[in-house]
Amino acid sequence: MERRLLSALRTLCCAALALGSGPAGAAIQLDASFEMAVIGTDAAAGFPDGTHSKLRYGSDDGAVQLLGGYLQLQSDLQPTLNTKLALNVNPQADTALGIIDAFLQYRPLPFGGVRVRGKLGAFRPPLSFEHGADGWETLYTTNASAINSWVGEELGLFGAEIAIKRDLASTGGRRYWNIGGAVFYGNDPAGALLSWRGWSLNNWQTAWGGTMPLARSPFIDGNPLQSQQIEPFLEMDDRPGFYGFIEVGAARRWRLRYLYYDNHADPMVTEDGQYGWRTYFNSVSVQWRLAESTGLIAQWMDGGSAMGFTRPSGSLPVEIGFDARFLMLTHAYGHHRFSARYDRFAVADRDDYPNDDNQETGQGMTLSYQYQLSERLRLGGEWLSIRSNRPGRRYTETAPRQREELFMLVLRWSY
Amino acid sequence: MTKIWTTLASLVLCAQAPVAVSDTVAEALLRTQTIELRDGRGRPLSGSAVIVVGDYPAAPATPAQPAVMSQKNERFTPDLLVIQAGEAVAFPNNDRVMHHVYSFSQARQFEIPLYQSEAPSPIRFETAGVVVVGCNIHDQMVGTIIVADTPFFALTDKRGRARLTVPPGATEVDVWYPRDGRYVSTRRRLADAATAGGKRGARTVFEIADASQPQQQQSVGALEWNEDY
Repeated sequence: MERRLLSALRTLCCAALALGSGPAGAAIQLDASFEMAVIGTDAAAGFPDGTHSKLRYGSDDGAVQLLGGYLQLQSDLQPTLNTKLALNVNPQADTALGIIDAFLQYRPLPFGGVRVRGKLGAFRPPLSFEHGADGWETLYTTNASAINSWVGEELGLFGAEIAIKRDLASTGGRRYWNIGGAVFYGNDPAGALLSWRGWSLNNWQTAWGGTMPLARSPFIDGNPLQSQQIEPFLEMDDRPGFYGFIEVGAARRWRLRYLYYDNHADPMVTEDGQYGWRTYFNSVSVQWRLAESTGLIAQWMDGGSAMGFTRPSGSLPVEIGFDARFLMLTHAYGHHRFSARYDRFAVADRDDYPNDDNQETGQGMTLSYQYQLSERLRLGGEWLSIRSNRPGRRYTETAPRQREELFMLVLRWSY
Repeated sequence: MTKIWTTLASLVLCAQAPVAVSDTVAEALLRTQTIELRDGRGRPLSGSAVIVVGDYPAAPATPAQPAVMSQKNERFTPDLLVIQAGEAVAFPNNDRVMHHVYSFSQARQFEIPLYQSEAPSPIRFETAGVVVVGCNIHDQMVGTIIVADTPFFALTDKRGRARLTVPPGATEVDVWYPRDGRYVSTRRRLADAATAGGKRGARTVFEIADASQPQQQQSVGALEWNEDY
């Protein structure tokens, strides 16, 4: 199934690129961005080293890092038919250059006062108000909230989405509603990272076919069916998942979105070192423009995940509940931007499996400053402080309670 | 009588042209009035329109240049235009991204499919009415074009002021102002207005209690709004 999906994806990308340069008048729009940073942190080693750290970088990483970047190509086959291919550069991942988005979008002109949008291909569910449409890049801070960091790490799918939205221009209305949903394949192992490593605040984006390192634990060490790397976008059981959302708002003033996601995975399926994880959640996000250049974003997520064969006690080997929320304020002043965000996150361990304690609580504070030096260059400073308590850290011989801090001086180039 | 109005209108339209001797009588009938708009908190209301109400047949509009509603930072700039029926509007794209401008308004329906840097041909508006334009790619872009059947209108500047030419006998104006992200109108009597300022700077002041301030143009780094959906 995985190979079928990958080959479908490859075909779609090639078709998009080939067709994009084909029809007369069609142009390719290129967008790109790269980020370099000087990093200081008191964390010994980041989570890519297989730790339970809440940070992506540790003091064992060099002080100067290429954070990553994206390259995005868009082409219009027709005025109403668009293709998009977004590639992500991630020096820490096993796929240094990978596909984030590759889809075909159908967007006919509004009719009857509504806009209909169709999407087919590889993309992420519409969960984040912190990320821009281009390259799925964070807009206000370098590191995303716990919720949307997880979306970047573990959520990616191959599917078809349809959305219907009230059109403001043709109805003359002030408020809109938007209802949509998708049926998808892939994303069956999603939930493993949240269980075994927990929440994190970072700017990681897992690419299609890419993997994420799990934190070392006795469960993984003693289970030959589980790899140390999780490959979150696999399709394993041929059971499609789905999500649905509803949004209301007023153009550029406020919006409120509810989304329900269920990957509908069979928790008893295993393949190539991966388990299926039945993962579902509710998400509510709100964005509100308090003044012309001052905005508020808040989000709340609550869900659960489970994997494995039913144990004699009736529970599955791993069952968790998870929830997280954040509140962010951002203010732009000329070429300056100031942002502050408070995160709270938790994982509740609901199974009785020994030596696999996935309980976790934590909170994070992020302060960020960005200065637009020129049209192409942006300089930023960001400070992150995360306090967390995870009893399972004893498996990697670290204290359950940790306070980790990180400072980044970031230079971003964009085209 | 119609001839007088036509003459008056041509005077307004050709303000720069030398005034012929025979037009001086008609010119004397026109008066120029400074109108000032304020919101409920007394702040000046810029980018709003004042249009004289009444049946004043005017010469068809024949300006040399079309009016301009450009697209900048994924917004229509300006987002309110007033033109006289018969005039054209150009929609140049000053963004790097593509736009796909359309209108389904009764007064004028049109579509300019995807365009990036090239300047599409101006669109002519023959019928008076309100035309709301949108972009098929950027859901939240909304622009308003008021096609007036009179040449007697003006837009307010940063101080909320507009110099309006008022034909004799005109007693009312329609004020188009921003409220919650769109433009709505209210009818006001000139005689009822408060005045401010001295003899030379006398202004007719209208307070629009429910007006919201127009959204300013964003500078680099201003608040972004992810329009994914």
